[in-house]
Amino acid sequence: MTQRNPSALSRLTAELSARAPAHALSFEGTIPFGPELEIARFRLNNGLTILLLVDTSAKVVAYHTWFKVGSRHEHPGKTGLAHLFEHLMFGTMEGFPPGEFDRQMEAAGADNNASTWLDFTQYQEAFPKDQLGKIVKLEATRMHRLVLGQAELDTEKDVVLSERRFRVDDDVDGKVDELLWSTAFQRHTYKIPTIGLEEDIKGFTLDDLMSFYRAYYSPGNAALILVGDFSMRSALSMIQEAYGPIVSSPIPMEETWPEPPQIEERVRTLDLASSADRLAMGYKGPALGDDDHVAMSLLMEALVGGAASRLPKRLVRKESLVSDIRGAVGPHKDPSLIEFSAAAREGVRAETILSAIDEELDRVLAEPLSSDELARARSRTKLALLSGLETADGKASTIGFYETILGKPAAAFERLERLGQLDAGDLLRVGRRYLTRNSRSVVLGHAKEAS
Amino acid sequence: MSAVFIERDGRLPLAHVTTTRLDGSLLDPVGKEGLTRLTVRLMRRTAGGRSADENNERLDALGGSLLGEVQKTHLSLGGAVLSENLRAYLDAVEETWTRPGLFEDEFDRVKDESLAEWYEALENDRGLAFSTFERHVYGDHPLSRPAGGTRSSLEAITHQDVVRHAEALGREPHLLIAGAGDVSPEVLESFAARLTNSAPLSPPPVSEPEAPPGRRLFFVDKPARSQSQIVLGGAGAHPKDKDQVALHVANTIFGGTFTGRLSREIRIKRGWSYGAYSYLSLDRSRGTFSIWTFPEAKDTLACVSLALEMIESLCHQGITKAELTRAQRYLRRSHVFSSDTAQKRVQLRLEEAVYGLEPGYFESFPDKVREVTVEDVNEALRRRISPENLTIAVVGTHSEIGASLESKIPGLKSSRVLRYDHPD
Repeated sequence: MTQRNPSALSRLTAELSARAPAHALSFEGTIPFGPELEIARFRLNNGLTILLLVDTSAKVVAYHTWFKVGSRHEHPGKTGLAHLFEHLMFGTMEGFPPGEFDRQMEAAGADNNASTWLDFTQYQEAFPKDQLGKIVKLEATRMHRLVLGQAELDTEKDVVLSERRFRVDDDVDGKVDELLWSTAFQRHTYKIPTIGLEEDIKGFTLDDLMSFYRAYYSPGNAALILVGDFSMRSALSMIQEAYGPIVSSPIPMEETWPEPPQIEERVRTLDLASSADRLAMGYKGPALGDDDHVAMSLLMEALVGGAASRLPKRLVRKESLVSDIRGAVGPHKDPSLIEFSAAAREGVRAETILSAIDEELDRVLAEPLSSDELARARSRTKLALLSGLETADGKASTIGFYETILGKPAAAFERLERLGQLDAGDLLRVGRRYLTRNSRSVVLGHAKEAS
Repeated sequence: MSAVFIERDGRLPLAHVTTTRLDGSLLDPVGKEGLTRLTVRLMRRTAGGRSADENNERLDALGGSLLGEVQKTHLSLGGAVLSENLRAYLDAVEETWTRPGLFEDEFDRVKDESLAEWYEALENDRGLAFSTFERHVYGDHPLSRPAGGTRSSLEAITHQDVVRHAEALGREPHLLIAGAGDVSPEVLESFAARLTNSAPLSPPPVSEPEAPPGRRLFFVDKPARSQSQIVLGGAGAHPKDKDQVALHVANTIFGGTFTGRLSREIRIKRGWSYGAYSYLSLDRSRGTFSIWTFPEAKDTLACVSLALEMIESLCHQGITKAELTRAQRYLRRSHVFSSDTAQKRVQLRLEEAVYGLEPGYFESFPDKVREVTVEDVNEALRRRISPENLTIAVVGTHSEIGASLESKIPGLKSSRVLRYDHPD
């Protein structure tokens, strides 16, 4: 057990704040993270959220910075901005020549990366514990001292275009997925592909990027997550010194429109330079914070969670219609999609797969799952959660994600507890609520091999 | 007597178990490549004489995953499970090795699904480039034969082939057994004693492969590609080479990290590709040295030419002291991530046994890296990497870029065009 005395943490922040009153820290409480661990929540007076979890199981530290900005904050004509900016965050900073950030990370033995999605952008490092001081300084510097140059921007646009070709243009699943989301969402900015459209990426200017940086990369819009073998006092002191001077700026008001209710099925077809058909479909589903999200996720686990679940059992094993079928409930801040995607076997039409899925979904809406199916889905979900928590980096990702989307860093465990309370009736209810054909969008990807 | 490796850590109620044999797809007869993999899959699905559905449901109910992995020189069966169900999970693993049902109707399904997966893999350009490279890098040597099989080799495999192969694999299962996480040593030792009554056999030797002479282009023609997937390289390292660590350091400098030479020249300076890395594969036999990158179609020739120039420069001019110092610092410090979980720690011990390395080899890896000199690295490069003898695999649209590659790649000795849906 590594639970800490809250009053000791209050005294610690009071002491650190007294040393540097302009950069005062406040302790906001502790949150259990599973049965053994505990997150301590702090805030710097510039608004930066700090979540610390001491875990001495390895001599490493995972250091994540999560910003509440993603492609949901973009507009048609300016798509891909958050993602392009993420690339540029590895560039030049004041006091650091080009490439120095990465060189210093590697010198620290750090494994670092970043990602952008609909609701967030996150930066992550994992490194030996004695390198914490260096990483704090590097990360604090790039939060407010990034230098953008035209040459760097031009090269990085080319790199992002290469990434787009890799993930979308030359990838059948990427193409189908992009069309599905732009079909399903007509008003909400979830219709925008996070990687951006080619013409938009080419068109960004330095002004676009600098405005974005000033607007969203403010400490008040970020959460810092540290997990690993470190001293709470030492880490807080370093963070206070490095991040305290960063001036917070007002975060732009979000102008996202809710997606209007979908009242009829939308079907799109797409010709693919491919040898087999693809199918993707998405039903309008619950937001991550909705209580229904847990129940719907459990239902999806029973439907597509593994070889013993209903759709693979029928479509892969029994009828040999697909080589693979997957599904998930979008883990997003606003209501998004309950997605299914399938890769057709040679010569099988996407329409045939759709009919088979429909029959299985009709069945799951007509009668409850068996208790065995429910138990299996619960066990698989628990295995997946625990498997993601073995490393410091895995814990930091889990904490950062739920903090950024829900403001609840330990929500993974709340969801696990909720899983145990759900019964077949709950799953029948959410299935009937969300798996309705008039709320779904379908993309039929047809193989059209060029000669 | 058996070889059992255990790394306990009860902080999460999760256990990992792996059982490993020191032979793999090299057992496949010529023309029946994929036999070992198909056999292990059928054993897993029909464990204990149960149907595949019953076994799938049993594993899901336990909160367990059980997968068979077949490499060229070894194969393993294992996965993770909620530790409260460890005993029942071990029963499932044991029954896979010792009492598979091997039913004919399930064989038909496994074969059919394996063919479908082969077909589906044609959609993955990156995977196609790597598999084409591996298929040709060692010419006709057995290491070039694909563990997953080809369309024709999978079609040739019969139920009788699989039954005979499964009997051979399960008759005397000489296994290395590894457990990590929330595992009790007593439970794992008892499992090992039930499953295997002898020490692992000395693995059969693998003959030394040779990269065929000259630069050879294998162009996988696929319609409507906006970019090219390129994998090029040649012979690499053997785990028992005295200069294996030096070559590993060289690879780190060349393309093992984001600041490596390849990434700097191809991605950072020119913006040609999202990724540009190099790899040294490690197995119980000699592995390969390869580069992977994916420029826009119009930049393919320039990118291949640059990569070839960079390999020449690496081998002929060598590395600098400053590069060595940076790589050593990175490798020594980041080594902690190879052992930051019980599962990773036990995996390293298992790999030592599989590769025939001395116990503790990986633990002392940072010390070995520290001892490497510039001369060691440059000598290893000259001895192991041949810029003249390279296999170049490109997945792209031949009508757009094929002719220029065939006529302008420096020193090209031969070229072949392969249809992407008939790459063999």
